[in-house]
Amino acid sequence: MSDNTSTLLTIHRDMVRARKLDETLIDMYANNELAAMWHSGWGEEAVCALYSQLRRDDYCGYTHRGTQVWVSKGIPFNEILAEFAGKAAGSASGKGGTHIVDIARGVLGRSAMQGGHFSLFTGAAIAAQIRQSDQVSIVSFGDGAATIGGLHEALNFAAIWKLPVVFLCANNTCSETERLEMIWAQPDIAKMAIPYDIPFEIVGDNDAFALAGASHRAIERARSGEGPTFIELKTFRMRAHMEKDPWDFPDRSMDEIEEWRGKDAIAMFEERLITDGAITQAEIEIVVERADQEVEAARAFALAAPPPQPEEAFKDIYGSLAYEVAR
Amino acid sequence: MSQPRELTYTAAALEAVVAEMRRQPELFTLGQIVGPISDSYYPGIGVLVEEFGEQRVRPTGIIERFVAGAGVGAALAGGRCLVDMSRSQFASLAYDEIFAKGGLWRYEHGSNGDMQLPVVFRMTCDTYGTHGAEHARILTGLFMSGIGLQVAVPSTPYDAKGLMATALRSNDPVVFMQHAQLFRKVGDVPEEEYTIPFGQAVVRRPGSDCTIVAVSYMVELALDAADLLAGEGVEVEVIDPRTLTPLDTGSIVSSVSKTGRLIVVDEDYQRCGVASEIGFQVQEEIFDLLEAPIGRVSNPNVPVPNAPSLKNVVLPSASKIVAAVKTALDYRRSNVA
Repeated sequence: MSDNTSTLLTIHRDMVRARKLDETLIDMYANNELAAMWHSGWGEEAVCALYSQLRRDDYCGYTHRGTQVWVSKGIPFNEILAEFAGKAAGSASGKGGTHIVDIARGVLGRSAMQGGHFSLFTGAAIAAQIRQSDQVSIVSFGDGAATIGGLHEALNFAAIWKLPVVFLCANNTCSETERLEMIWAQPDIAKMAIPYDIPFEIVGDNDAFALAGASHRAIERARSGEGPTFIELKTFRMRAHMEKDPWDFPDRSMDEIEEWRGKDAIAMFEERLITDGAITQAEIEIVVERADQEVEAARAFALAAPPPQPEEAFKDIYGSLAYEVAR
Repeated sequence: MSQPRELTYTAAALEAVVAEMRRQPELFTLGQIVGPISDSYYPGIGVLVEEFGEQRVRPTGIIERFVAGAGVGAALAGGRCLVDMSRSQFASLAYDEIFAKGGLWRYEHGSNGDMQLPVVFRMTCDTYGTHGAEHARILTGLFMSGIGLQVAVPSTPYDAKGLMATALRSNDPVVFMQHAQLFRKVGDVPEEEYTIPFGQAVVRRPGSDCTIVAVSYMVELALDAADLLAGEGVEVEVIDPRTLTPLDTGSIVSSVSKTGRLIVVDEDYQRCGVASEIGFQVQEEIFDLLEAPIGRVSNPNVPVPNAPSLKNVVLPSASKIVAAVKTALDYRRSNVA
């Protein structure tokens, strides 16, 4: 098996795992098993084509639809689901909810404010550049967050300093309450890169194969000190903004949803892998079965896990100061 | 031990920056007032880029949200960052980056791994020399309200160096507020490196009749007031908290336990301000020992006007401190049994 095939199979596995995890979060939310809100990214799994190619020590700034980052970076499902369930074994000790974190894997946390991570993960790239570590920092976001001025600031300084950043916009055409044409002067968000002389690529509808190539080029550029790249993936938000909202919130038409169901990232990717002889249907079924087992075991773990003890509330406000000293 | 020598407030703080940048290769600085052409805003700052180069000294111009967030992000990623916010009123543009990313990020992400946040937000503050109500915001109260932040308010060259050294070695975010009215102040500063632990107040002048807690530049006004009062036979004790978070409540309480009276002097608005917070904490601890209501000499919730004649009405002064102390001394309980 070539390196290339191995990468594609990893991407496939992570896409399947991301979807299983997402579906489980949807189900757990519906069953009142979560202590946090879930913003589903079901249908946007193609972005794994970028994350799955990262090194363990690369940094990832992600959004509220973060399953693809978590699975690709290898964060244990137990920690993810326990965190969403408000349990002590969660990745943030039960204090974060949707704020899944894994410092050792470069997942440095999540900004609740949309776009708040533009500067943070550009800053992470500065730290990497100063110590000449050849680490890469990913700044991923959607079309809604891309309207925020902070993205311009991050693009500008990433370009000036040739920082090792890959900007990934998953343009799902739906921000929380507005459609793309209401908040964007033109539909190609990657053109934001033009005034900063940042190379950009636009990847068509849920095309994980094309995104894998674009991501490979962008990561190599960043690692070799050539600076940032902007990648835009055209995709679609298949579910409501958050699971609390009615599924058929009138921001998308059923026709659109059906059209995008026919452009499913995983199905299209599997078709290509089978055609190329990289995987068989039987092997796909094994991948799906393993993902099922992984997520079901984690769900059982999360539900059985104990909640944080009351004293946990007073920890981690500072690293070096006791609550009693700094209150 | 080196010879005694005098340095300005800014030169003293800069000496700590240079020493820490030599000591810590991952420490870098970015923001508006970090480059060579910023010398007129911060005398001598040009030495940084000369010695440490463009990788570690990154001038950015006026882009507060980005520099504050980038500093936090670099800190999360194993770097260490001194962010120059220029002035405290400009830092308000980066509220989310300083208060939420800097202040809350560690807590929000629990005890995961080895999360450290070594970032210092340096800002010049002053309402006396700034023009118009928007510029003339010191925001000490706002920064003191920031959960997860430490706030240093040096009032002398010696403290500027020692507190800056401590700030740059801390693994928690620090808001370092340097007062523009103190920039040219000269004082003894040892040549060798030293740190001043956060949360240790210092008695600037001992006294037994009334305690004055004064923040930053207010220490100067309080010492002037103390001289005037001494001429009338009143001895006040002037305490400089040096950091607002952590606050050395113990030293303040023990002084007020002795004097029975407290005046808090702060340049910020009274409403939700530093004086209000310190005063409230003290009465919670030693209500029974107070001989008079705690007084505040601070901005009476007025936007700071520009004309000097109006500014004098609003901002703290030595004479206002004297008046407040006298009010406390003259206070007689009306309902004493």
